[in-house]
Amino acid sequence: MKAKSGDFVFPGDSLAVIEEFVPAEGTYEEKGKIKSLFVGEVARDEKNKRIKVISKTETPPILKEGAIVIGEVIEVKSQRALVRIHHVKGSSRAPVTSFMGAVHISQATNGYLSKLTEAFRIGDIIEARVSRLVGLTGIDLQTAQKSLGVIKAMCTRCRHFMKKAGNNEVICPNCGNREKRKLSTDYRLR
Amino acid sequence: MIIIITPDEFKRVSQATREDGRAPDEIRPLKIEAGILERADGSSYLELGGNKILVAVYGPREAQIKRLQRPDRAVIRCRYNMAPFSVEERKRPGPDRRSVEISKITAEALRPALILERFPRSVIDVFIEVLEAEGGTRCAGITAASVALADAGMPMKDMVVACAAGKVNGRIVLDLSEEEDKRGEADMPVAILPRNKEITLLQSDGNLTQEEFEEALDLAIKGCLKINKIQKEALKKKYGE
Amino acid sequence: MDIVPEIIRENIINLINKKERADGRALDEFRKIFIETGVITKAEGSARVKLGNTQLLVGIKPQIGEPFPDTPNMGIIITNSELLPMASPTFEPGPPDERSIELSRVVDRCIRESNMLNLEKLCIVEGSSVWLLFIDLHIIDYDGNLFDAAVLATVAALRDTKLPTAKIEEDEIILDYENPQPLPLEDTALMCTFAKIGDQMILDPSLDEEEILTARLSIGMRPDGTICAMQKGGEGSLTKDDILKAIDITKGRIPQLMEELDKTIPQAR
Repeated sequence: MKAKSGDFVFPGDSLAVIEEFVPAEGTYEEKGKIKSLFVGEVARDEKNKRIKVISKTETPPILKEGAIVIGEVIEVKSQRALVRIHHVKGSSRAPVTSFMGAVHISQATNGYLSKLTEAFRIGDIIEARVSRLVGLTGIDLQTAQKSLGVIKAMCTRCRHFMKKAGNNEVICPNCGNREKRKLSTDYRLR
Repeated sequence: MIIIITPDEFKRVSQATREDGRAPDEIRPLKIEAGILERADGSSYLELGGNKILVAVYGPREAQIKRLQRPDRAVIRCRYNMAPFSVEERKRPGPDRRSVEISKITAEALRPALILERFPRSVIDVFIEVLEAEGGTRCAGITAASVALADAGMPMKDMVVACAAGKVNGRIVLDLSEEEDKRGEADMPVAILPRNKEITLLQSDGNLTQEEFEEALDLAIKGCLKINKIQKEALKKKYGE
Repeated sequence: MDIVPEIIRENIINLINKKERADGRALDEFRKIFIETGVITKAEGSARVKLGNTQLLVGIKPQIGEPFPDTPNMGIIITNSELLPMASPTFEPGPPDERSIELSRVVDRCIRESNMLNLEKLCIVEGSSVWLLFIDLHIIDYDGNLFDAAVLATVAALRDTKLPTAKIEEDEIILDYENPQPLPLEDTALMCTFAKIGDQMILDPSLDEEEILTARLSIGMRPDGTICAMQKGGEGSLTKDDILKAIDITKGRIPQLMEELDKTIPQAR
């Protein structure tokens, strides 16, 4: 019953008893026993007395702090921009549980921002980092780094995607409108 | 103990074999493969005798229908569907009363193994496609679905495995073929969690005495345990080393 | 809104303008093709085709029924497709939607109009009994370009199909299952589908390419180079030059598809 590091295990396989180890990720506890949740490989941390299972299959992309997400700005309030999360970068699967996040005005850029609409507008596609998780569904995002921010800006006048015109400026190829944004260095339309 | 096979004993054994040559406690040839579709989050393919079953799992993903959302956990949804060419007489595409019932009890059979509390407001979709049917498709579907859920990386307490037992020609037999199901006296699909042998699906169609029921249930559980080994082999083949 | 196309659009267009594709193919190159026939024992004919990661099954089931009044001496083919929800996160369960119906009809047209199947030979009793062939397309994995994969699988399944011989004895139809016969196939037609992206017409679009295409063109062609079916799709437009270029590429690619098909299931003679 005692699982060694590297053992191939199935869901429900007993790994250890709770007197010996602390159940870590990929495991659960039932009646004093630590069991595997996944098809995977056992990893025992003897020093910290932790036992975990590294899943061999791709698991649902539950958001963690530090993850990069791609989303769409659906509302810009005075203090917060609401973002509908479409993708977790590095996973081909649909997001799980967490479908909405928000960027606070203080988290949008490194500098001072007088109005959040100078960073984001409705319809923009952005890349952001998860800075804090509140419970299972509250997600705080930040876009201060150079590689984060708007990757495609939508013109507020005619709803076309806009071209980059400067470090924090975009221009609409359709109507010539100029607007301000917090642009990512990965901005798509040049 | 020494067993001496007498001519009498021989006779008993030969009577015990079935039309397709199987022993009463023998399942049909079984093959399972894990992770065979590109788009699905998890998938599996199963052949049991003449049955060919494909299962895909999507999710957990956002439940588009708001009334399906549960604030505290994910919801599992199944769709059992038979291909028009899966049976002798072409089947009209789309759900019928039989497939709707099977979809419901399949979701309920799989539910106890899953830890859904980690994914509030989400839905897990299990799509079971019967490409060819030869008796026992609901059990085969559950067995394959469990492999597909493991392939999708769903946290689970155990696999779920299903097998039918029944009564044919007055005898209790395991894993009824289409022919046996048609002519037999009773068919009883059973799904279990193999570790604690708890039953997550039970149906019975036909007449059994209590003694016969107990015998059939024990036999079905025995069959499930055999099939569970093959489920694990499929996952090990895909993911071990 | 689906934001996937918006995230990938510029990358794909930039590549294609340089005559490159994300998966390394040339602009006029098919993905890997895999064909298998006889996969469903209970179907009179069947095939499984993989085109890259796009995968589908076709099963053919015959029935005896009445002919249409205007074609009393001809058999009937009925093509139906199911875009199964297992094939893509965007496919919903339910009755066939417009994408599914378009696919069925384009496949049907390519088979029918090429006259590959001699429908008159599927007549048992003129005016009362003919063979009905149900061609059911089961889409199980969707990674772009269903049309070409579907036509290829359908033709392979038709070649795989055997019908019992029907005899008439004293006004009754007797079916002889002992001596099944192949279908009266007299020609072949296959399909090449193009996506217009930027200024290019690219063959066999992958899912990513399909999501950003401006227009789509499918061409059904017989080995002799005659065109038997066409379908333009997508919200954008094509020039005459685009279409002529696509026809030229199709002429060059049909022999490749024929070779793949013949390799797996040669035409019964």
